[in-house]
Amino acid sequence: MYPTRLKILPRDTGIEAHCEVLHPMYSGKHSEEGGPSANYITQLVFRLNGSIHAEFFLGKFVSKHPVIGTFFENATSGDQIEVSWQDISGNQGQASGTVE
Amino acid sequence: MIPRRRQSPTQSAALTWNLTGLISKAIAFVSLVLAEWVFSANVYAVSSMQEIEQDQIEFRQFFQSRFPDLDLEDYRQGASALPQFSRQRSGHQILLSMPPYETVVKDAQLLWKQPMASGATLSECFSGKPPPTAYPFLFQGEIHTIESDINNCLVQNGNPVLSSEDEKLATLVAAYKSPFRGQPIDIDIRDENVRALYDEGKQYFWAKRGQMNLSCANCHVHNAGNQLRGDVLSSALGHGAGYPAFSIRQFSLSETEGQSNQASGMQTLHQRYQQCNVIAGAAPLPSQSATYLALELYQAIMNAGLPIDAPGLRQ
Amino acid sequence: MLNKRRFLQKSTRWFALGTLVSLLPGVRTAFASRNFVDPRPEFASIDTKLILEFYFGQTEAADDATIQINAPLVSGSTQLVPFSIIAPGAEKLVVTSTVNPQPLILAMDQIRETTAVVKARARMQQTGDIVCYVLRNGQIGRASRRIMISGHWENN
Ligand code: HEC
Repeated sequence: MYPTRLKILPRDTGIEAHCEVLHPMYSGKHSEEGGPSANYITQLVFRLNGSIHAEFFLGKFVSKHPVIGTFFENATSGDQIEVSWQDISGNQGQASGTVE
Repeated sequence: MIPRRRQSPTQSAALTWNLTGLISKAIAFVSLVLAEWVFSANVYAVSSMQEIEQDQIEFRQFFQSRFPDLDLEDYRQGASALPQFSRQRSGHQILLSMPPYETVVKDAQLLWKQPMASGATLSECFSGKPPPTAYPFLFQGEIHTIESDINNCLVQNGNPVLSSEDEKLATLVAAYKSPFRGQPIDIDIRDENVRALYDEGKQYFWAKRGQMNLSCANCHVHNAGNQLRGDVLSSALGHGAGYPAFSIRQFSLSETEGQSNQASGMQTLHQRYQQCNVIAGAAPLPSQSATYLALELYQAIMNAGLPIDAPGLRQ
Repeated sequence: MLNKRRFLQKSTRWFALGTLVSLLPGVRTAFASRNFVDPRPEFASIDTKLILEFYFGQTEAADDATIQINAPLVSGSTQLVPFSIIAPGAEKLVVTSTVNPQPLILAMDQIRETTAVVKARARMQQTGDIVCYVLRNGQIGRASRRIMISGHWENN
């Protein structure tokens, strides 16, 4: 539902991975005035070759279209990086990429 | 008794010199008036190519002396290139390391390859067109911008036009321009009609208007680098090179308005012009109006040789 | 005449009582936050201690200079404040702000690295600090950075 993109950036000492989700991250602040009700990503998980590498818990103070970046020291060429998320309305998304 | 002052030889020489000076000035004046009368057609004619080049040189010299540490190509980054931006720079840099426009622009690049109602794609429409560095250009009496060409293409292929307020238009333009990042702006000014439009845009740029009686130049030339309500005023040199741009302000404002919370923040140059008119207390003109087109052309010509840098990141 | 005086006395008393009650912790937030409350207690909490207790099982924190926070000195927007954190040896990491109604911005767990790296963009309602807490060898380290929000824009 919300496009998710994983960006894998080679760095000197490892791999940096950024996940961007085009999620509105509605805080629910204006729901009383007819604005959209709260809906934001609560959990976002990075996996390296299938096992959990880092787990993020997010709240409504993360910006719209969130970008979450983290680091993989030991990822080597051919490794699979996956990211998946879910929001409070039950939407889910994921993206994956291979380390060059 | 007060002794009569004798005129010194030097004084009398000065007098005669003054006299000859006066006479030569009078002759010069008369001949100027004559010339103006004889060549009256030319006095009001459009700028020549030499005159435009002179304008460019003077314009650049002004900014060169105002910001001696900047290279010409730095100006493409707008206000963030200026030394006065220092306090905002760290945040700008972190944001650039995870550019907020990237995903939307990548998605828009796919739209360029998507078939329209007729089956053709936008990319096919643009295959015979000049590169984005040559926009805006005059063809068959009309100024073409990437925005107008996209809409022409949509109409010809049975699709509805995109309104200028639709962020999709800004995003499509950004997607088209982004592969050309770094290539120099190169506007053809050989056509006299182009130069007439240049004059029109130049006139709009330097003329005062609005409640505050400000011209574009008042803010972006004479006050470039100064602060206005927390914004650093960008230099007019470089205007447009980074557009369409991701506007943090547009991204943020939409956040609090509740309804259309999905704004991606992408903004066209003409939307920026409108904002500028509004903050200076002048009536904004419609996007793609003749005046804004001439203004865009004028600014693009002043930027000749600067690399394009779209989409840019702007406050 | 008498009635008027009694009325004034009574209303003053009620006013004073109301003011006192509103000073009690939590009462004002309960009235103010008619908007959405996060179902997760650590995110709904207005108390940083509770957050630390939840994630780290303890609350004692000491300043730690090895945690690097990179953030803007000035941000024009309340809605897009970027930051990046590098925390060597972190097992868990919590990022909070001192100016939002609830402090917790994000938490990071299950870190499979010798150094935790986080990059993200946050909302911050006004000038204040981003505070990062890190669990390492059973101790909580803390680092903070002040960010000035120059958001002069309408509706911010
Ligand atoms: C009251 C001052 C003021 C006036 C007058 C004004 N602007 Fe601006 N303009 C601003 C501010 C503030 C910004 C945002 C900060 C910046 O980038 O300069 C801006 C930004 C811009 C930008 C974006 C530059 C970039 O690359 O980021 C362009 C282009 C621009 N103005 C053009 C114009 C034009 C053309 C006019 C005349 C119609 C004009 N401005 C009049 C204040 C002004």
